[in-house]
Amino acid sequence: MPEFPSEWVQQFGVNLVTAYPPSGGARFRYFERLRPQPSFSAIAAQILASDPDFRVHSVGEMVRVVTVEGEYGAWIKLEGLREGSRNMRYLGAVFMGDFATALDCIVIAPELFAEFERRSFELLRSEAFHMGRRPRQYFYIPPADWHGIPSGLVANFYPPDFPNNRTNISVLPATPVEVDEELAVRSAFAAAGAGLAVESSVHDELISGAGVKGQLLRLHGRRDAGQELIHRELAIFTVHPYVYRMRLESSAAAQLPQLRELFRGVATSFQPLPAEHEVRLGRAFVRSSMDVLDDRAS
Amino acid sequence: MRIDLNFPRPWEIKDAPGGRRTALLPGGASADRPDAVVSIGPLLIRPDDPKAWMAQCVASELPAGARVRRGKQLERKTQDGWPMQLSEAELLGPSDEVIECRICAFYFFMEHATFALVRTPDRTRMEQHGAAILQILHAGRPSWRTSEPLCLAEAWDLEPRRSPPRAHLQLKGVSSNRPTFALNDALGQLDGALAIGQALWSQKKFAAALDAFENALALEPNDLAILRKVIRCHYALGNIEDGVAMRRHFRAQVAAGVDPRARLLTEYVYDQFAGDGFFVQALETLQAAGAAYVVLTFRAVDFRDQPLPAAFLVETGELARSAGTPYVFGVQSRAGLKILGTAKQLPAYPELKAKALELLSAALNRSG
Repeated sequence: MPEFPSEWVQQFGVNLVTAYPPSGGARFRYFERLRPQPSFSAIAAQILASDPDFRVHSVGEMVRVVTVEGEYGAWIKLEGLREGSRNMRYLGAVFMGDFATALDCIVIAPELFAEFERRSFELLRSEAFHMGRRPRQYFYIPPADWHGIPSGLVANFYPPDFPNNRTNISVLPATPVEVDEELAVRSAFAAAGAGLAVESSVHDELISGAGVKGQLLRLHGRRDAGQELIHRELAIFTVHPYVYRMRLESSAAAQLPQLRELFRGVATSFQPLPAEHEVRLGRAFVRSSMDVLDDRAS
Repeated sequence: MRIDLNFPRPWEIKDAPGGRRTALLPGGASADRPDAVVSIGPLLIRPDDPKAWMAQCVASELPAGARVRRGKQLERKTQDGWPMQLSEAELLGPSDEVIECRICAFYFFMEHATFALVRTPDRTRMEQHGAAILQILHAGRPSWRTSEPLCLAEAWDLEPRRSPPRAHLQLKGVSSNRPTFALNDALGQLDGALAIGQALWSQKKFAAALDAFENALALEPNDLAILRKVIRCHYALGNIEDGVAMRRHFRAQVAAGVDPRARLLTEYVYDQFAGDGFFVQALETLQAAGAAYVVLTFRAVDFRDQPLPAAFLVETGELARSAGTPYVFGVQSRAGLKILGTAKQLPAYPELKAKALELLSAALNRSG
């Protein structure tokens, strides 16, 4: 929950807190548990549907937020009209995997727009969950138009013509490794051929779009003698203290070059979980405070 | 999560209770019932006893007194290779006459299963439409989509679909010996174009601002916030035809979902002009609700864009359309809403704008 200043009036509901600053002119509402975790557009639509008097005129750029604990979130600015006066609305969410939280701030006093815009962002960023290091989903660009099937934190993707095209891409959650990252990589590679009589394997290097050096293992094998040839690839990146793994498996020999290219695209689109400077700046995937100034208003 | 089956027109699809859907093929003009009905089941966990489940599905929605005569069972695959079983049946009435023909398609998608039950009132219509229906069933594929995002990229879904960078795009009004080039270069093409456009807009250099925003739009065609700036430039320049065309394009882009932020917009400002001591914002409604709704609003605002108590409204609705005068004009002021008249079509924009200025001035003068 964000830390509302102690002088603010707070009213509590079921997984809900509404807070009013003493200056008046604004209302903050915090939703503590939205389950299952909705997308940011679903959260925004739900909040706006509960307030049909607010007529949205413009929607700003979505900001990819990083909280003080390194959790991912999103924040957006909406301008609109409510009861005949111009209002600003600042919506934020934090995505925790199993659930999301949301912060809805509406400001009716124009002289307070700037102050509460900043306050809304900072309150969202200050949310604390104390969930620490744990397996977590991370950012990558999923293969376009493929079927996605969740399995807990694992995302499985299948091509549109599956099962004729027997191919699958699995993206495993980032896993914290406290002791020996190299050992974790070696164990993952050793397990990559599980269930196959491996006929060939090749190690390669992989560099993500964010400049992270990773490793790629390609192997071919068969489940049993005489059965179809199966192609597997395992991409691994290590950025302390997490290991990031993605897998491709396919028996669609004819499409293999395109499938490998597509897998490489997914793998290299990966972004490691927030680093210290992203936590400090409150923004994901920025390199410096100059990038933070890069937001475009709508 | 459901099965995707693509029923072309004239089929009608309706949602039914329990996650089911019904597709109806209308009969001829004199027919009192559809030629065919397809009941589409929800996507379930694959049953432990598939035979019992299939028998139950074939015999579902049974009229009172009817009994089922099972026909052929066929093992098939969908066009994507998913296992599909077809089961034929006929429903018999009290004298063993055929009162309905059925084909039930059972699909098995990994650990999930569903069915589509086709019903026709007689054999003739099954023979007439059966082949086309089987083609639709054959193309069935699962849609695993739920409301829950599968990955972080899906959770961050309020970003426009970004276009790939294009290095050699010819930009308007940008040459290496102009100062704007340095700004463009320093900020990057898109941000440079936007910054230049914004600066020129503030100086009321609308033609040059339009060039800059069009450059930005060429770089990021899915960003509807940029498209709105282009629309406003056209109106500021008096290019009404271009403005109207761009507004049409804007609505098409909103409907196509290229910029998911647009789904949240209720209305947007497409023009702003000055009145006597006030400004007027012209707004187009994007989310209309109710039997009668506002399509255009001309709202008086002060220099800080704060609304003043006067708005000229153009409404429409079912009642107005059926009366042959789809447009209803009114003025909203402190005194309430006053209806001024109706029209078969909207006046030309300059006329509408002049009317708005006149009515808003009068309303503001009355309210003091």
